[in-house]
Amino acid sequence: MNHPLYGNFRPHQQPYRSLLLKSNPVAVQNSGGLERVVPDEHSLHLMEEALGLYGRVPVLSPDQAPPAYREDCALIDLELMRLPLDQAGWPV
Amino acid sequence: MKLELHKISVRELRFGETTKVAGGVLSINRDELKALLLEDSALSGVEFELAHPGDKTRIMPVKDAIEPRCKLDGPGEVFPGFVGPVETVGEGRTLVLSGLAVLTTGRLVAPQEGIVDMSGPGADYTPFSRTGNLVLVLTPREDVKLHEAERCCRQAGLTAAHYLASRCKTARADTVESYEFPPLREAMGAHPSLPKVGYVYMLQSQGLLHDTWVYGVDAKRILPTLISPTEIMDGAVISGNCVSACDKNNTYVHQNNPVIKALYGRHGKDLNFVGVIITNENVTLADKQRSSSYAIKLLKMLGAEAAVISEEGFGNPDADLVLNCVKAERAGIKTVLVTDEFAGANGASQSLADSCVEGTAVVTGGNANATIILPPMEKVIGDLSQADVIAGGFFGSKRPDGSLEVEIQAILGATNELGFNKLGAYTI
Repeated sequence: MNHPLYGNFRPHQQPYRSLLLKSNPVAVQNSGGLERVVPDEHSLHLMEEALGLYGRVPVLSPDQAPPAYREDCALIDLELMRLPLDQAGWPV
Repeated sequence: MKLELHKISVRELRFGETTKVAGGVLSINRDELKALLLEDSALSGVEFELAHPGDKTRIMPVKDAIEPRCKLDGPGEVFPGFVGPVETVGEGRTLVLSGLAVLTTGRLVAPQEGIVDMSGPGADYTPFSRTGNLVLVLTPREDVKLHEAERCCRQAGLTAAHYLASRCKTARADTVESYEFPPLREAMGAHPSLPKVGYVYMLQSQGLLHDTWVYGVDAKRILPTLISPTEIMDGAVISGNCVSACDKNNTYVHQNNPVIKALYGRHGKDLNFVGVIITNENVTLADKQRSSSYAIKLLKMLGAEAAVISEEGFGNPDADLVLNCVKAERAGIKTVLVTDEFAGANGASQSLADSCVEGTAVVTGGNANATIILPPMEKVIGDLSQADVIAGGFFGSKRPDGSLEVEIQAILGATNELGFNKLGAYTI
């Protein structure tokens, strides 16, 4: 429901990254009339692009960050998740 | 809508008994300004510093830059919703103190932007090394929450900018620039032989420290809308974006949007500049789909044959940029995209987090991953230790001798996606 690369921080700057996923399977019929469930293609594309980025660059883990920095990053992560959580019916 | 910008050139700032401008020198009564800013009870302290081009001075972390302006006449006041009432602006006459910026600094959270070096190699990468700067060093009260701390810092910059201009209303302008945006009925029929070109102006809108405000409204909550370029000049759009210095649009940049200026310059010559559509960059996929479809619908309603689309930020806004491009192109509207790149230190990695085959005309503001060593400065306004955590810096950025090794992402405006910078490139 939210883009994986929200916020203006890159993987080596922000140790927290939250992703809100919604189960919303789309059933399509193939030529034989059989139904199968497929993920939302655009969502999948954006997640694959984001994972590709994470595979190419250094990633900061929480234990590598100073405590004060970690706390601030956690706060920013929460703030950037407010809108997606609100739209999902889980207001913070 | 017709707006005149009455520009007074300022080449030097001083502190003095009276806030006034004469002979290119702006004198500032800091006690009066301090008392005005501290009327906001969320602030516990304000200090002032001056920085001129060529000074051996580093300013960091910088939150916003604002050009001092005020209305001389016409509806409303600049920065509607913050300084002025929420009346529609963009008409009449506006005073501009040109060559000067108000910069706000102070600690909100650890990872923040941005660096301005007034001299040395870093100065080339920021337009604010060429302005005389009044720097506000702001201290929010310790007991206020982050939302309120950000608000009061944002407000302080706007209040100070308006104060400086409003104390100079009786001074005579050095230059007057006139801008007009006719009613759509006239605009559509004017210059029938010229292509109709619209401008889709993307605004950062992800959440706290990543926001933009339109007439005091959080841009996360708007649908894309038409806006007159003259409203932008009167501060209808202001920045609440405190991260990633290189490609954020400070309020100063919004006030002086170079894309708008360039389109005006060519209007009636080789294009018909038919309108500006502001749109947002929300983090949810549903909002991205809604806003891109709506913005392109507005372009179609204008009869646009082509559009310039400028981005703010990187990462998930790249998805908005691509959606806007794809939907415009599929509607038969040719696009030019203006963005920046995060292509790795050697420039060889994929530049954007998303792409499309329709995006064949792209202007880049530069590669934010390029690194630079900034020499130590005699004076630091702000907090040098932030270099370790500044976006574009990394742990160990600050060296023992006071120099900084950072990506140009850390420098204010280094890869600005409206082209608001002094650097350019061409292919040999």
